Amino acid sequence: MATLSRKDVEHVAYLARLGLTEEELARLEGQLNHILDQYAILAELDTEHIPPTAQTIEVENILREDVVLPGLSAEEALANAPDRAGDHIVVPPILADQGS
Amino acid sequence: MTADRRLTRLHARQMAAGLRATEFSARELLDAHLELITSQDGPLHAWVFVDEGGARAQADEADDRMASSRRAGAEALGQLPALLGIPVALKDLVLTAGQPSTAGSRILDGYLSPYDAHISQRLRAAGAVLPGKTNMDEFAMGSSTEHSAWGPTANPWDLERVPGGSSGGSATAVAAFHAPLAIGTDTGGSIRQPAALTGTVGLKPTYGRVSRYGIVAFASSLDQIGPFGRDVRDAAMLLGVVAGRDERDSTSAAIPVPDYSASLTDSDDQAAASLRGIRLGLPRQYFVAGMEAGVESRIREAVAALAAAGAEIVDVDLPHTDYGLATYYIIAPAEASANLARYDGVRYGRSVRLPGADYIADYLEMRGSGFGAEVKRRIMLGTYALSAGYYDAYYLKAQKVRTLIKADFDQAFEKIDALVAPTSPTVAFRFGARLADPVAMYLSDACTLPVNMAGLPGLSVPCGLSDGLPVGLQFIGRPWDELRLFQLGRAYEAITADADWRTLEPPGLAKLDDPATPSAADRAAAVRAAA
Repeated sequence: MATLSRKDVEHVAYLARLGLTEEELARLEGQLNHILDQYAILAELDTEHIPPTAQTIEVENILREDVVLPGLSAEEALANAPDRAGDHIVVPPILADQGS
Repeated sequence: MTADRRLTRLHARQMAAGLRATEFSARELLDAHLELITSQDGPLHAWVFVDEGGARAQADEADDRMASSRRAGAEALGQLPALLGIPVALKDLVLTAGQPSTAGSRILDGYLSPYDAHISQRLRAAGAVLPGKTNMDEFAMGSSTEHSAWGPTANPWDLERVPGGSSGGSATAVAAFHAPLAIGTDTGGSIRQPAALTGTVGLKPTYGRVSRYGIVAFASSLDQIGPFGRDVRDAAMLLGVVAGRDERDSTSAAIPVPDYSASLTDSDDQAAASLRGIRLGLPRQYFVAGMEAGVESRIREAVAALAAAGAEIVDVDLPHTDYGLATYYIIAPAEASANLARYDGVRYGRSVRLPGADYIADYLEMRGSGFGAEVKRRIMLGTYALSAGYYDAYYLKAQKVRTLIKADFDQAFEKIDALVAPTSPTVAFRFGARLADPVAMYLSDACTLPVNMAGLPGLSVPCGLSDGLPVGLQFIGRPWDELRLFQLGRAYEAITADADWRTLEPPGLAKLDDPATPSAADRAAAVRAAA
């Protein structure tokens, strides 16, 4: 199986939105490759015709009556928000001009 | 106010009987436990949050309820809920309205849950007293409780060793008599392995047996909630309260929940007799490389005792067991990386807003500094296993091997009633021993994680000591067959009722009042240095 380069580790960290220090990146490169080595054992098994299992119990189409049930009040839902304006959560700008 | 430590030594069902017989009040029972927590939890660090005032109010309410039922007559007293006035410890990922739940993570520091988990509601309805939250590996990722952001928990049997994990705080709370019962969660062994390492009883129920509404998620196709107790009947009593269908968790199954307590006999003779004719499979692959000789001896002795009492022992093969670890360490991190994407610092939890930076830089900083090393490792593994170009080679491959692992169990259960196996290949290990090598830590769960992969119930019961430390015996059952596991565990208790080790209290408890015993802070510093 594949080996992770330092560049791969940096790319995966970015995909996962983890800001890592140089030291963490270096340590993870070694540790992740060591763990990936353990995964190599799976190549021994021929699984071409084996269906995947995502879930172990047989449940399907779990529906409930479409009725309004009590939920959290706005105050309760907002209580943990780091930044709020009235009944809204303030989110960081994603389309703003960085210079403005 | 009396705070009689002897009350803490009772089993939960004895506490329930004592409360009904007015031998003591729920308030006295709680105060006895709070006194132990206050005086002895410093070096142990089983708890990360204790609400004495809230718990006392719950205990007083239980006493009021008990008194008014007593005035109404014997029938009303008989109808009181099973856990009325009984303290139950909750792992720090079980939400309780208005209280903190950090899941062992800095990222949830300061979070106050706006609502109760389903099981918190069930426990309150059953009259349980909820003193607080117990320590755990961050987001339930770990087998030692050393990955808690709040420092590790010590094992009551040897304060220099881990209690296992991730539910190490719950296991220690029960082993150290801080509560007769505790709730844990088990994704790859996180109830059974700490139960084994602390000499307590722990059950991972069938996937879908207990609603996970209001539980901080780790790996959603594997996570399950279960009980800890100091014996099988107590653990069964707690499962009976929390099990069953809940509309808010669509994976919770509408399968009837048996009356576990009524189905477990108090008679040792009857319990032992129930073993006659039972077919137990002994999976040869569970005597894994790296298993300690003392652990293997205790397991083989326990199996011999079950055979001597009339159980038929059948050697069985679970040929894909050796692939379990790799499969699990693809699937669980993949699901975790998706579940933990929700920590964005916007709606709740730790937040970082760097001046002048864009939102991606804020995420990177908040998540990079908020998650601990093991959680970051798993998010990295999971993100990689799900990333473009690697999905088929890792995630899909692992899901296919999961099918093979499950099929091994299905085939075995055609010939047997349950499996009997070790819970953990080793006894409790020293702090730091497995921190530098993640794979060594992952091997702690070699005998438990296949059970999660197949969604089956597994029970760990103490089966003696190796080098003075507890060993756990695991029974694994068919889906929804928790009752049989409890009956087997109860039968094993009955046939070993006279064993010397059953009456031993964890020897570390005697050192807790000694000022020379290292504090939790000393231990946390040592663990940080080893990591």
